[in-house]
Amino acid sequence: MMVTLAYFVLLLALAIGFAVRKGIFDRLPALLSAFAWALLSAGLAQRGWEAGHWPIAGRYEFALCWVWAILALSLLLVADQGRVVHAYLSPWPLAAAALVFTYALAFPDAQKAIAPLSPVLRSPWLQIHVLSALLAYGAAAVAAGLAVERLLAHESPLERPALRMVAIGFTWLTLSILAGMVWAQGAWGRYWDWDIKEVWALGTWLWYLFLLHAHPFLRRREQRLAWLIIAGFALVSFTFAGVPWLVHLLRLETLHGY
Amino acid sequence: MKASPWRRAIRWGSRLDLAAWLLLVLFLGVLAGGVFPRRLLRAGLLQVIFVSAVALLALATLACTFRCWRRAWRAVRNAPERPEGLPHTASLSAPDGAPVGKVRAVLNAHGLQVSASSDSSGTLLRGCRYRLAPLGTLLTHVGALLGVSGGGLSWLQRAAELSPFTGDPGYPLVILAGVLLLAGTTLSFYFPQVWLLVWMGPDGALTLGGRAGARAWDFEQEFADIVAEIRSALETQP
Repeated sequence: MMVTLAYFVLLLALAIGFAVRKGIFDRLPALLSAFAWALLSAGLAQRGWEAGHWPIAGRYEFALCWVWAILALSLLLVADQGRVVHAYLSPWPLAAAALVFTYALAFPDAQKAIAPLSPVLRSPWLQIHVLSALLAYGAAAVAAGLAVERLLAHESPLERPALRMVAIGFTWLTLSILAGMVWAQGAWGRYWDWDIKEVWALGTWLWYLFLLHAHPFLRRREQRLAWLIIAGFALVSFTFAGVPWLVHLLRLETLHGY
Repeated sequence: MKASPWRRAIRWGSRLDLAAWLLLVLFLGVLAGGVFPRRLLRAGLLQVIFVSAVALLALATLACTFRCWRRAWRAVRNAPERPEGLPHTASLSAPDGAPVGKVRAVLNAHGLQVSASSDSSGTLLRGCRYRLAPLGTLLTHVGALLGVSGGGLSWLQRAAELSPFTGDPGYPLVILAGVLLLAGTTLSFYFPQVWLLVWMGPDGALTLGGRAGARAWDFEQEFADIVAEIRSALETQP
């Protein structure tokens, strides 16, 4: 109930964000986003309480937590507005959140049902792995939102806020992969198995590493940087949502079935 | 004087754009493996390209590490001498003489550790925050090298089909590499080095100079804030 309500409040924030770019209501999207975030937090807490574990089991819960992270980081940009050249009123990070939220709510009810955590997922390393991935994915989405804003409204500054988000995301992604390796070693006896999910996670990590090395040399820097950041978000999204589809399409075997 | 071939090779190998291109090649290799898994990975040519890209990247990282450790160490050890040559500068005047206490208080309030030195021509205050941050780049590069070495060891063990019960010799190296990468990126991205120097002449003239690491996203704003706060402190009567 609270999760669905959060979704509609977010859509309202998004609609107002696109309709009212400047004026007396320009803070309304941020306020509504904060409300949506609070509702989502309560919904996730309730779900976790009922399940008896963190709500990070399965793709539905992960997607909800991803939205939570996008909204949290967007709101942090708002809170930091005095110091960062920001695009906090940009509706584009909210659009990324709404996209992920829509994807989550589109799951069939059977996949949304609260389920007990399988024994292999009870390791604290898995929790570190998933929570850090959430922050990384959230930062990637916010950075991409800022990049779209830059491409559409050329006066909007991109480099500092978006690169800061990329830097935050990259660090957390590194921690996520590291924790995942420790967990895999304990669970499967191998820290790396070139599983399709691992390959895509490595690809995403390499892409951001490439971006961090390449951005000082880009000609028409801000515009190209924006495209690289958007491509990073596309990679992150595919790693999360596209890889299961690829596994199904190519009839691959994967250990990352949850 | 012409540099030796060895030095030129290190300089060329440590170029950032070369690293970026190699990372792109590696990314494309991984992407190919991600889109056409297994079947394509078994193809000999792709493996050769992938392993070559990893080896070249490792060499470039080695060259970069070789070159950057001295630079990083210098950046940690050596403080800037004068404020004038720094990227951000400002001038103020203090009619009542050198207000060392007030300026020091402002710098301290921004988390800068301040040291003072005086001679007959004036007083220099040096404020610094996160002095060790330049070592972050070094840590990430050493981490990358360890990661490649650990991955290589694991690959060799699997290629030789050794028993998994003997343990994977690459695992501890890869984990250590991950920890170094994490520590290095955290240091570089979250705790960038900042220097702020204030020179106070006997006539009450103040020269401020600031320098910060590339990841100090807000330093321009912070420098302006500090200048404004010092100006305000100077206008306030004791």
